[in-house]
Amino acid sequence: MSVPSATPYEPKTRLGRVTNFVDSRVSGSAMVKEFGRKVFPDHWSFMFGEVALYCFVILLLSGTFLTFFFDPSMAETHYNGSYVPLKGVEMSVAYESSLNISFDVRGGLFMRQVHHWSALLFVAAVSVHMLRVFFTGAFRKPRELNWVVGGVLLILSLAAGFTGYSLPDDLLSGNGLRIIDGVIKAVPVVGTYISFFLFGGEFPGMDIIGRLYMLHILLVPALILLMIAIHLFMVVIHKHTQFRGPGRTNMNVVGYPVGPVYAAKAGGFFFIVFGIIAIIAGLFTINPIWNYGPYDPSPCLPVPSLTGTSAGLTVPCA
Amino acid sequence: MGDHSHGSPNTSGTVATAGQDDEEKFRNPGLPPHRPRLADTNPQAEKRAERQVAALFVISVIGTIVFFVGYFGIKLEGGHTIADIRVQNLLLGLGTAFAMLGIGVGIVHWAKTLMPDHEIIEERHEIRPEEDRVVAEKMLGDIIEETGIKRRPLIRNTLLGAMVLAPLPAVAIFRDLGPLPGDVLRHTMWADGVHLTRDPSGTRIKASDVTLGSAFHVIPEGLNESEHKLEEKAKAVVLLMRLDPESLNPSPGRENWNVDGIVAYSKICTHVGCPVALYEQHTHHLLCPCHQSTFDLTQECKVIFGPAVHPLPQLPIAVDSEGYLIATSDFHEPVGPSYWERG
Repeated sequence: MSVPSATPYEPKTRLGRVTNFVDSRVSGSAMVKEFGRKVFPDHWSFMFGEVALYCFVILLLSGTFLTFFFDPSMAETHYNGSYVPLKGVEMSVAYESSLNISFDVRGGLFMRQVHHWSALLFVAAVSVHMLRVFFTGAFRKPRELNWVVGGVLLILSLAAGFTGYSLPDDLLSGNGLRIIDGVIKAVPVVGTYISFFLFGGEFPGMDIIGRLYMLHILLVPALILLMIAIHLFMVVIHKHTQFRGPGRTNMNVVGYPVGPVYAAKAGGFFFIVFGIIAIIAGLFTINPIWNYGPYDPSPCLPVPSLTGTSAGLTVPCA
Repeated sequence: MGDHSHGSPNTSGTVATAGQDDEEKFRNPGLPPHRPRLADTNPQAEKRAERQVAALFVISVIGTIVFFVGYFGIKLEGGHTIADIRVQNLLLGLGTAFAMLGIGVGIVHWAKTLMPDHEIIEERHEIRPEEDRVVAEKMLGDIIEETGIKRRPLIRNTLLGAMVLAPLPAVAIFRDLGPLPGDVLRHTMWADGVHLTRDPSGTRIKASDVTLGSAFHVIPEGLNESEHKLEEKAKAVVLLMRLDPESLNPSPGRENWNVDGIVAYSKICTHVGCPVALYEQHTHHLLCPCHQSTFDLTQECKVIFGPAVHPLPQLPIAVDSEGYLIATSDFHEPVGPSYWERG
């Protein structure tokens, strides 16, 4: 039936020549045919997943910047950077390099803030996205497996958050690790062994920051990326859910085509998410590690006293 | 109420009546007709939208310039203050925000006002036709049959055995991540004759300095010079307080663990290891700020509230010949969070 056309395809336009070049080598035309006008339904509640995806992209961008300056070493050093209140204080190299990122690398503080805020927004967006999927019943057949992948993504996002929270080795992150150590030790039978293997000996040891760093910048993001790929692949297979309405049935999808409207809206939305995170990062401080000091199992800092009691509650430092 | 108030159900035009127009009522009305936007019909509105999009892109350019002003304009070399950092962070943040929002809002505005807004209907197809499943089932069955694994249990069972064992080296190879716990969790730097010293200065504490109602953060003497300072400190920190000896109720065997009402307790919470940092003098309660475990000093730091299970371990203390406080032994039980072998 399909006789090969006598005259081979002769591109006439510049776009045609580019298409011809790419298609005859890696066959992109089928993909353009499949996705170029693919329809996506439009609803504001469908944006939460997008927000999560864009937060992850921003996390990769800002995180990559931070790795150029962060040193995950627990070796002892004395701070000699430009933040005067901590000058001469004994601390780990990890904490020192976090302070240097904040005060001595231009834009470093901004990138730390962007990274931290988008991490929070990431987990929040994943959670709200899950609520949307749950309350609209979008997890039902044939989408159950994608719901499970989404659940794994939520757990991975928490793992990424926890491992990152512990890296600066400030008082708060060290205390978080202390609590995790306590939780691990409570595991029946193998608890102390897991704790000693994870920390390379007794808490806090000299290894934990480097190990969490590997998990934070390599293993967990790679798993998240893999899960996101599976997640989106399944969305393509299932086609997006839609709310009911005139002209919409169980058997069709009504909405704007990817090209140009949906791609423009979704692409533009990435910049909007980035812009909003940048505003928050510029205006609102998050995790001011310089106020907390280095990790100390028994910090000698002025501890805020509980309100509403007459007695002095805190033990003064000698 | 409102909608039902006009007319009776029999005659009201608002209440649908079943019958002749059933078919009409349930037929899918289809997509509502496309309504052109202002920019579709009015060339002036189209021009205005075009200018708005361009203006937003210009705002983005200005944002990028603001970023560079903040980056290069604020001099950080030599003696900059926190205020400089704050100003720079503000300019970088707002610059980036405008650079990004200008592009983002511009593109979305462009898509909403100028790009075609006709909705398209795409049919959903079954994810896979069921005939394919029959083919797949047959094909997989043939493949399994050709391997002969069902007919050759010897091969199957030895393969299973090999597959179960083969990953074990991948687990075992992580053995050197850390040493075995042994009994290090049961021991701290405290021992008979070790002086109690102030944290962080490391100066010894005279019993007479510990007045009624006062409290001290205490570390064992020599901790600051210790090779594994943080590890030792995480186990050895102690809170020292003086109470009225009458209010202490030492259990048998612990009568001589205090010095005239001066008692020393581990500062590491037995829940998950936070420092028990809050001392309420009037009620003699110690409170852990992490999860609100509360310990009563007058009952040998029994847990009276919160998630902790074990009381804070007590450090037996005495005074040396010069009046300085010393420990008379290590803690008699492991400090810090509970663990399986603790019992």
